[in-house]
Amino acid sequence: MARYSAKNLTKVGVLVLAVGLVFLAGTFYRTSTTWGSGSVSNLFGLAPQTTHLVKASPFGESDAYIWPPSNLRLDVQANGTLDVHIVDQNGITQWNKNHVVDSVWAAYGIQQEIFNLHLNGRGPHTFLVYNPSEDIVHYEISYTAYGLESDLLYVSVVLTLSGLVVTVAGLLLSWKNRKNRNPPINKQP
Amino acid sequence: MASFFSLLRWELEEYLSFPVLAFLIVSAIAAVLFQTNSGGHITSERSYISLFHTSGTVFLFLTFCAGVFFSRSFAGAVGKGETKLMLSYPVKRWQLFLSKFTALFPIIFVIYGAAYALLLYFNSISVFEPMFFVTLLAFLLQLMLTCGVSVAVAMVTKSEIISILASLLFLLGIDSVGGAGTYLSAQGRLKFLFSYFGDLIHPDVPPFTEFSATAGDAATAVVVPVVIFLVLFVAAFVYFTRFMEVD
Repeated sequence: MARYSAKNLTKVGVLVLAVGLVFLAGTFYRTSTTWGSGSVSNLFGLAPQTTHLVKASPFGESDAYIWPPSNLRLDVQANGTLDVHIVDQNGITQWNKNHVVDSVWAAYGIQQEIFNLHLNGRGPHTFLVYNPSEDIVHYEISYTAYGLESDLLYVSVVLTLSGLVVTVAGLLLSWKNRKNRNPPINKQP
Repeated sequence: MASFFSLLRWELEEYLSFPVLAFLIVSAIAAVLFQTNSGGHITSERSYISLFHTSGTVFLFLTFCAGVFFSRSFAGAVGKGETKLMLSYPVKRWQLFLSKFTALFPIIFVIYGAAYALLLYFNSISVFEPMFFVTLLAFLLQLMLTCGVSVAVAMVTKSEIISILASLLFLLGIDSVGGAGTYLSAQGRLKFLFSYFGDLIHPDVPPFTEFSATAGDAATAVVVPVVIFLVLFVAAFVYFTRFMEVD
């Protein structure tokens, strides 16, 4: 009975280890491609003291970019100062319903700057741009999402380590069972 | 009936035991994870369209795995003398044939369907997105076609290797030659189904701007593989139960 449970434990361990390793390989493979790059701009300029929620496409009222929890490179170019926020699904809903800014990242009073940041959550994100100045501001924000997806990396590391521990435990158990079944023979002097 | 379930259990232990099952699960996850996004935008309103664009690798892996598993179970058992041994017991031929199908078909579909559901999380698509189930229907049709072709070829050749090669060359050849323009190719069927149901369910965000399928196209995309599966499967079943000499 104990022999079978040790064998099954090893099998489960190897299965979890294999799934963890394929997740790990997939996580690194997915870094070879960017999760979307492009730019957003305001053709007619942003009026003074106004806020603009950027739409990812002409479709839908609040179409947003689906970004994974990875790195994001932002290049902001404007002819005046701007406050740039990145909002997630919750932030988009908050803005559309109550006009409350609930951002996951923000930079204030910027004109021409490059940022490298890390997003913590997966899902819809977009930009909320505020013009605090008294003039119309034209801007262009170029973005590139790249790098390891942290949630996938976390899952793959946890699965790989768990699989490794369970496999080793199964192998040790079966080795112990074998040893108990065949005790060492005491040689007569 | 008891002998049918015994055969079913034997089939699962013999052809879907530990390393093989692990390979099946790992291949399904790999098919979903190893996708190239080509830097395209996935947006919340159009995220469901990614289900179409990421299906190619899954179709390839599914066809390959199902072709190998069905060929191995049907032709491999004849080649290794297992079928002869089984038929020396008081089991009926139809029970042996159907137990192989019943053991493999649902498990391959469930594993690939479950692995494909990972994409819902990756691309922030709702679990209740109807287009996900349309894509699953396309996987089911491809699995039926692969099963029908593999089983029929296995019954004719009775050789595992030849059966795997012949069925895979045939199915992947159709996919390669036909592309997305024919009811016979996996991607083509999905395109017709995706276009018709996409226009119906998401009229504001259609999946394809340059192509629109009709209800007739969608119905044909379902009927063609089902008819091919039924014809080949019934022919193989009749041949196995009535005419085939097991030596």
